Amino acid sequence: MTNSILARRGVIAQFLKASFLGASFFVAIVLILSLLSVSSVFAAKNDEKKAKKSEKDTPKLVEYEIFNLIQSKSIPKPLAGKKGNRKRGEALILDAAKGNCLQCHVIDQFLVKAKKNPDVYGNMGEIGPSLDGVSTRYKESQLRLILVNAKLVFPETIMPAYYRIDGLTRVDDKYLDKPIMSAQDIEDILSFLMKLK
Amino acid sequence: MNFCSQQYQAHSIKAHFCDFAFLRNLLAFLSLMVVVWVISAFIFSAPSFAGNGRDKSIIPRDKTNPLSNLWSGYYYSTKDIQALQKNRAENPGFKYVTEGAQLWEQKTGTTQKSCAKCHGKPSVSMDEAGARYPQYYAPLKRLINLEQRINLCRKTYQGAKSFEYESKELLSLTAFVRSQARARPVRVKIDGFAKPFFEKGKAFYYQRRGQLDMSCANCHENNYGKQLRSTVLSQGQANGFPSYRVAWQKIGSLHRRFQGCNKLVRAKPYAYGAEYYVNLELYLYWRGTGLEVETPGVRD
Ligand code: HEC
Ligand code: HEC
Repeated sequence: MTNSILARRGVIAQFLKASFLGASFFVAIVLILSLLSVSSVFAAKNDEKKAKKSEKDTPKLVEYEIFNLIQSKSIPKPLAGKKGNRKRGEALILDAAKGNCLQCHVIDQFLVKAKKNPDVYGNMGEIGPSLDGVSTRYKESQLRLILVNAKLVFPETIMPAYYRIDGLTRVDDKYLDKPIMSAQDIEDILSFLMKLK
Repeated sequence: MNFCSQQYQAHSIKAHFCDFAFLRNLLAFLSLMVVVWVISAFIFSAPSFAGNGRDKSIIPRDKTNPLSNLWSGYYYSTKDIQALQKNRAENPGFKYVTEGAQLWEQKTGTTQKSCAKCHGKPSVSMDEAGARYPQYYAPLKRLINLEQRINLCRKTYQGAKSFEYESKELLSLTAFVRSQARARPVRVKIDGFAKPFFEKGKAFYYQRRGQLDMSCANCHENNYGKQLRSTVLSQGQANGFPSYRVAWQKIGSLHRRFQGCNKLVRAKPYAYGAEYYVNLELYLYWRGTGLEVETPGVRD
């Protein structure tokens, strides 16, 4: 019994010794660190003084925000004065020979319909951004321009210009001098997009 | 246990050889060696499976290649299609390769010579051609592709009529010759006389065309790996051609694929074998330099 108590005392003594050592190490490190930081503060103040001196010579850079002027390009008036039909617009978006928008874009509300009817609504592409909420990102007049000729908004884009016949190369005879869609088609799609929230 | 006669001392070395435990250990060791040998043989013989398609990309050596990693079209195919390509017995393209092998041996034309008569063993004489074409052909002062090379041989050496482009015969012979270079890395020559044609091919590649106004790069350089409606866009590599396409229900040439991609963007396609397409072919093979020849590839 006594033996074990003695042993325990030894352990306690060792523990105390170790913790004392540890604590003094800790204190030492804290001291060194704080000294370092104090000196760096001094250094910083010195730098500041230097900086204030040179401020007179060099202009200061102020934060700024870039407004994308290109995106504010738009076509305010409906093409050929047509009024859009939302139902027809949806059909044109799906039509592979017309809008074929789903080849590249996703529209979330079609995901539900895709379960029942995968051939029409399924397999939406991932080349362009999702079309959900475009009406909150763009005005109708801007969307009209994107549909008419997306390259005027996104210069290098893959997205076809749906209402353009000039400046094209080796168009197949069948499509020569015809836009991909009519003015009415584009207004129809627009009225669908404007309701996409 | 002891299998030997009793004349050995229990602890002598010779007695040790007669020990059952020793024999058992020896047997175990030998069988382990056999297993290691079989496994390593399997691993080191992998090159003989090569050319069937790979799941890995390679990094192009030429720093001017616009692609940072090269992927065969195999990689973007569905698992079913990949399995079909990999399995020689089921790959429908091999039917054409076999027919090509017969044409290779067939005597024809006014000279009644076969391809084999001049070229001998195809695995030796044609081991590289499939990785090297199209190439510059001085007498015509332009590039010729493998199909055109085959037809030149027919005309000049066999005294036979050219095969129609996209005919079963020409596709079979081309597939046969190109398949001799299976697993070899594509390496076409683009300098010297080939240079101006290479540049024309490159210009064609980046030219937007058709009513949809898209270039090859729009789909195959900027958007590969992404879903274009129900298909995944590949890098549009040429290393599997002539390829069997499920949509065609037969094997088809690279130029047929070019026409298809032109029509996709509602552009007027060029004729099979047109110089535009041969230049484009050189440029496309260069983009895939280092990819293994996989002819006959299988695609949907
Ligand atoms: C071949 C591909 C393709 C097709 C087809 C296509 N688009 Fe696009 N679209 C794109 C890409 C890519 C962008 C992104 C712009 C860029 O290139 O940076 C885009 C951008 C847009 C934008 C702007 C979205 C945003 O959040 O900035 C709208 C709106 C749009 N497309 C609508 C349509 C409609 C409607 C159709 C069909 C009538 C259509 N697109 C067809 C590829 C396509
Ligand atoms: C509208 C998009 C589009 C354009 C533009 C386009 N292609 Fe394709 N291409 C495809 C699709 C889709 C496939 C079939 C899936 C795949 O392999 O990418 C394909 C396949 C290919 C293949 C077969 C790849 C293989 O491994 O079997 C080649 C080669 C090819 N294209 C070359 C071209 C060339 C050259 C051009 C330009 C003249 C071009 N493509 C333009 C969409 C396009």
